[in-house]
Amino acid sequence: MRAVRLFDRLIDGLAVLAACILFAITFLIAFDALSRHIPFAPRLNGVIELTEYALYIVTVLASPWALRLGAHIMVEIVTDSLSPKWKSIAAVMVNLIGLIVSATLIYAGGLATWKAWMAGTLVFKSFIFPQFWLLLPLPIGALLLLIEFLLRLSGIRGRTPPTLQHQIQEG
Amino acid sequence: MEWYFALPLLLGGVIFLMMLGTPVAFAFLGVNVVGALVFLEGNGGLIQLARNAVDAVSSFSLAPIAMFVLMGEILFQTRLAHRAIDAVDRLILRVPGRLSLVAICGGTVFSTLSGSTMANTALLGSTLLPDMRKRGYHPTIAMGPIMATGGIAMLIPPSALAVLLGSLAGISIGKLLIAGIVPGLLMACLCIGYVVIRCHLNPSLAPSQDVQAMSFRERIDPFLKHVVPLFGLFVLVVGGILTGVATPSESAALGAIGALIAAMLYRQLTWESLKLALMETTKITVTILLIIAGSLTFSQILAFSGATSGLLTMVNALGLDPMVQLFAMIGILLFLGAFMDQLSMLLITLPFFMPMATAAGYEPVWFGVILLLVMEISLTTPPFGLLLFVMKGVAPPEVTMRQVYMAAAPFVGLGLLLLLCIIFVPELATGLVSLTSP
Repeated sequence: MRAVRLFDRLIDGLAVLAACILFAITFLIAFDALSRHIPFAPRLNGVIELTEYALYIVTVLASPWALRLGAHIMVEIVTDSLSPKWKSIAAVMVNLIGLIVSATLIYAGGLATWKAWMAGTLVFKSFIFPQFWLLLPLPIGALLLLIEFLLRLSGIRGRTPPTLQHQIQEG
Repeated sequence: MEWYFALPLLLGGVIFLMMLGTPVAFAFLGVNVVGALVFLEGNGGLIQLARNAVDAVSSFSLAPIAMFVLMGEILFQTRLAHRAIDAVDRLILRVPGRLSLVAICGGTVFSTLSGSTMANTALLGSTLLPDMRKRGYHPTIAMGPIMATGGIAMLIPPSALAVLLGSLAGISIGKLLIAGIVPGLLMACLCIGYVVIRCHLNPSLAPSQDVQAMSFRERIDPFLKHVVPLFGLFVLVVGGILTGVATPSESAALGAIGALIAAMLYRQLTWESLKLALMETTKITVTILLIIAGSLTFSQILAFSGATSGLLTMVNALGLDPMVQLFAMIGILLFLGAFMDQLSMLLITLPFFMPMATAAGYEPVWFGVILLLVMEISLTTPPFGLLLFVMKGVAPPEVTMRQVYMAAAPFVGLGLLLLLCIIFVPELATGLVSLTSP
């Protein structure tokens, strides 16, 4: 259970980091827009590119947390009308599908990262850096998703996910 | 594999997984895995899948989604939105269905500050519905306008869904946001007209109430203090786009910072409310972006498998009139909307609808507004429109689902009426855009 608590702290921490990144790019974009119209104001370079990477990183960082909160959008009309027994069977199937998808993303993302590393491919835009830096977060994020699906499948996660308000009150 | 086998495999697969209760993003990703293995040749396809997922969300045009959500969340969590509704409440005097009109006007004001339909309905439902019920308002006239104004938030900028639609469909986001203003305001006017006429004909629907005696100054002051300054945010966002001074992403960021400054100036910004607004924004943004990561690859696999072109060739061979095609598309969306959330139905149908719209020669902004309006209508279409359940969630326990359905029905009719007006008078959607762009 200690390992589960550690994992929870990790994904909570990553979600807070994701929120900070979103907040930071909001200021960055606004500053960039304003500085264009203010004479002699310092101009930032590569804001568009930074924002694009930020949106991707935020998605990878906070997806496992959103999954734990049960926040991912679902269509529940069929499952809501099922008996409790069939509902739990459907839940097991959903978690299995999530597990398979996450495992495939680890493999596919890992393979893409490995190939980019071996080929020494570079991203050549405002910033120049090895492409595998960009691809690496994907398999790592998918690994966290896989662990979360495993926890749901094993029954460690309760039926009612924690609410955001509750989490914030707990700090 | 022939396209008529590929289409049910891919489309049917996604729908099956969704109906099973799989999170929409994982339903798309799951079918993508199968599609990559079958149509994109094994490992190469899987690597492409990973790269596509990264590319799909690394798009500057998606930034306004996060910023618009943040803007609305700041105003909601700091309760500035609640104050604005209270101010509108004081302004409306003795008219038939007064509180319903407060809901429509207040909801429309909040629509100019937030792009979230759910926040809009939850806010109005929790603040105004108990009072309406206490004063003996009939459930239909109490809940209907609240749900209808929830949909207006989708049309009037800032609208996260309009940004998403523009980004995915390749329609100018700025033009689409501007084009939603007139239909959104028209919808509000139709709702006001309906409430006034219904309550005038049948006063028992909304018993008249004694409005607290207040001087003109007492009525107007809260409006000037709590609503008019917030309109500055709307002007900032829409003005930036209209004048071309800022891109939609930049306008959205300025709007979010503006909301933050407004909350500070009103001394409503607390550490707690900021944390809640930021975390809610992250939660909503991430769930949308993950779906985009899955759905873009899905439409590429659909195209690669030949399913998209096969279906389009078949539709073209039917030689249907463009107007018939349009009504068929609207029919499909309304049908799907009764069972699915707006995002899912958009992502499933866009890979087919956009090429069809291009082939039929539809004006893209006009078509985009029609799609937004259909989604707005389907939010309140029984039996499974999303806002019906939000409404039921915030309504008192004695309100039945049937009453919620009955309350929504007339406003679904008004939405359809507006839809017909926009189809036959496209200038209602494109007029403002043509006026503002040379």
